[in-house]
Amino acid sequence: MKFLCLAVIFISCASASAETGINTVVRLLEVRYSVRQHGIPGLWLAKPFMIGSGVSGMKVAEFPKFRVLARDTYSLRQQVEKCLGPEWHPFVEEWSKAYGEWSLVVTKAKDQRISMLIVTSEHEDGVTVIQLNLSGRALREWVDEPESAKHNSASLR
Amino acid sequence: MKRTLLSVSIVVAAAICAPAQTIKVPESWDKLAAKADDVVNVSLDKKMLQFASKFMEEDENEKHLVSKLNGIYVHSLEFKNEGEFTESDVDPIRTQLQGPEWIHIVDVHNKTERENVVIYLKMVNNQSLGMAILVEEPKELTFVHLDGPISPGDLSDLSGSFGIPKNLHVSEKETSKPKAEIKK
Repeated sequence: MKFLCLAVIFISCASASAETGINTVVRLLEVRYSVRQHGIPGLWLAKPFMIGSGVSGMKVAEFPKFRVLARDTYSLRQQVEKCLGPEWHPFVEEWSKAYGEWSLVVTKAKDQRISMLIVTSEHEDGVTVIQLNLSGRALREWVDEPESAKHNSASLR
Repeated sequence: MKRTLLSVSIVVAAAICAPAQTIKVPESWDKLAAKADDVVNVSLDKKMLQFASKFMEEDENEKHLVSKLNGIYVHSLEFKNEGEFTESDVDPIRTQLQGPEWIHIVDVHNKTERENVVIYLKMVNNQSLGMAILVEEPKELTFVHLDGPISPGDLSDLSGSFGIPKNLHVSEKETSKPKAEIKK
C-alpha cells in the first residue's frame, strides 16, 4: 500500500506540467494524506484590498481539520521541493513546537517577478497553501524579515 | 578522448549539482532542532539575492553587497529551557571552520547576557569569500553563513535583515588584529 501511494505521488509529480505551483502541492497533499482541498469562495472580492500591497495573483487552497505532524514535516518538505522542481527555491522553513505550527515558503524568480508559495500547518486552522506574486517592494519586506513568514502568510488569509 | 570528455562532463555536472552552501549543518543540528521550541531556517540563493537587490534603492552599499553574494543561510533554534544544547552540539560546525581557508576573527563572550558570538572569515588568495557567524545564548543558537565576497565591515549593512541577528558590527580596525572584540 505504501509503495502504491509512493508510486501515485511519483507519477503525479512526474506528470505535472512544466509550470508547477499551488496545484502541484495541492495534488501532492491530497494523494499523500487522502484529504480534499477546499477552495475559498469569493476570494476575488479581496482583490481590491490588495491594490497597492504589492501582492497579486493570489490563489489559496485550504485543508481544514487536517494538520501535518511534526515528525512528517521533513519528508513532506523534501517531496514538495521535488514535485515543484528546480525552478522553485526554498526560502524559509519555520516551525513552532509550542503552537504546533509549521510553515514552508519557496520562491521562484521569473522574468521581472517573484512568485511565492507558502504551505502552513496550524493547530486550529489546518493546512493552507497560498501562491502569490510579489512586487519588488513587497519582496523587500519579506526579505527584511523572513522569520515572520508565518505572520505574513496569516495576514494574507 | 571519450574518457576525457566523460571526465570533464562529470566534473562540470558535479560543479553544477553541488549545493551552493559550502558549510554543512551537521546532523546533530537536526537532532537539536527536534528538541527546540522554535526553528527558523532561511535560505536565500544568488538568484533571489540579485532579484531582491534591484529593489534596495535606499541603501546603495547594501544593494551592492547583496548583489555580489552567492547566498545567505540562517539557521536559528530557540529552546524553552536553558541547557538544552551543549558545546558538543556546536563543535561539528566549529570543526568545519578549522580549515586553512577560515580565519577566526571575532570572539566575544558577554558574561552579563551569557552570550557568545564567534565570527569566521573565509580567505582565499587574500580575498574574503565568505563569513560564518555563530551566536550562542542560553536558550538560543543561531548560525549564519554569508557565502560570497564580504568584508567584516559589511556585516553592519546586513545585520537585522535576512534573518541575521541584529546589532552585529565589526569595524575594520577591530579585525586588523585577530580575535578582536565585536561591538554589540
